[in-house]
Amino acid sequence: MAHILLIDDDELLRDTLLQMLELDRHRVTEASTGEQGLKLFGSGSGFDAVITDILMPGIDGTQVIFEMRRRAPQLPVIAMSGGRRKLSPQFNLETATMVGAASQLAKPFGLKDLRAALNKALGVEPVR
Amino acid sequence: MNTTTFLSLPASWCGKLWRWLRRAGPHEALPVAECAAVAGMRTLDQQMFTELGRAVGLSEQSAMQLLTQVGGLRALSSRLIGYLAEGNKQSEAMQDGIELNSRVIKELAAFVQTLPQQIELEREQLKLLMLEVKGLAEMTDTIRGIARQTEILAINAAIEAARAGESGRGFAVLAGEVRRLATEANELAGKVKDDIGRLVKTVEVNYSGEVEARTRHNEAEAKRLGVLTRELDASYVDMRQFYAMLIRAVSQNNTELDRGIGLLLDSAQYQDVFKQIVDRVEPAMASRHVVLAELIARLRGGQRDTAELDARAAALMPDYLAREAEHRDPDAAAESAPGTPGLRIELF
Repeated sequence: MAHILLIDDDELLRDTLLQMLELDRHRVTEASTGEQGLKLFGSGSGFDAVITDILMPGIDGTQVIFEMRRRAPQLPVIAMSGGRRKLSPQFNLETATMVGAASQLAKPFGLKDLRAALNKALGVEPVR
Repeated sequence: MNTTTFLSLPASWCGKLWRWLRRAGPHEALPVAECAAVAGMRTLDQQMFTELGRAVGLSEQSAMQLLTQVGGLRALSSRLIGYLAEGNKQSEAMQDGIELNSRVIKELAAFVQTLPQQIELEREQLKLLMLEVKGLAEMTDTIRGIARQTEILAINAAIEAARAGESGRGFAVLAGEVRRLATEANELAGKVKDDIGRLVKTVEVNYSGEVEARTRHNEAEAKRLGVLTRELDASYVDMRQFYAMLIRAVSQNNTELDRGIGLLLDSAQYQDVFKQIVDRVEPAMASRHVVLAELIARLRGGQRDTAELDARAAALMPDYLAREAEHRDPDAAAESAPGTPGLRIELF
């Protein structure tokens, strides 16, 4: 069981992910914007992993990952993106990896993909 | 004797020297046990071997570290190349959006440019309409005046009629006047009718099917351009995000590359330390060579007393160690040998 910070501006998706994560007995803290996510994150000491959307209004996911890696370099961050118009999910997720994301999730994805990404991320830095 | 030759000498150097001396001349040779000078040189040799071995070991370790660092830099560089290729694909995909934006801006500009002409035309038509209406209003005033006078005359005619018989002539004049006014009123009424007809025609022209079609076209165009403008805005937001993300990722990668190159340079500079260790062997070798040459000369000359040379040979190793100690850094003690001074990095 891990404490996960979930950041996404899409409430419906957030609710779905929350249910999926709670199914695996993870504890989840939600944020609807990058700004709120960073505020809740603090120094990162209270979390085992972060799952963040990339394309969000205001502070986007790559900026969130960049800042979180600066504050807590060892904490794994999972990036997820479905793209928007001409902005492809591949490019968004590649960018996330470049700035330090531990694993990626291309939307839409299922519980199996979520588990695999989370296991990969937590495998890099074991759950405390 | 160069370093390579020196390094190739076997451990039983003293014995070989003895055999060589026997072959070299008829001099009475010294027993090996009495060859203290040679023993001193051997001690120096062993110490130099130790130092050189340490330098080789450190160099090997450092070379492996360099290889690892270069591998890391190559991985970073490859990752950047791959990412920029993906960024290029993304940029090409966004090119369509840029072209669309350019077209939308042109169309928007063309539409906005026609608006002043249309507004001027409609203003002129409205001015004409106002003039017609004004003329009609003036005619209405005239008709009203005539009607008022007709009314007064009619009253007067009624009064005069009451006096019928006596003043028939006066009534006839009044009746004539009424008729004239009536005729005038009739003519004006006809003119008003004509003017109203023209006015209606002007209004019909101004708001005819053509004008209506033009208005509808403008409405549709404005709606279409409104949708395109929103797309333009969205496309601009995407492009701004694309470049912000691209720059963030490339900056991050370059920061890592810069850090890696810095570490690589540190390692490369560390390589010079090994060269310095090897270089310091050379003066020790030169001193040893001097002692050896003198020893050989004395032995060849049949001199048995080598005490002074023994002392000089014995001092070779402590001297070498003393010079080495000058190049040790007490703060850089190795983890494997705590308390032992480590290498002092002297940058080139």
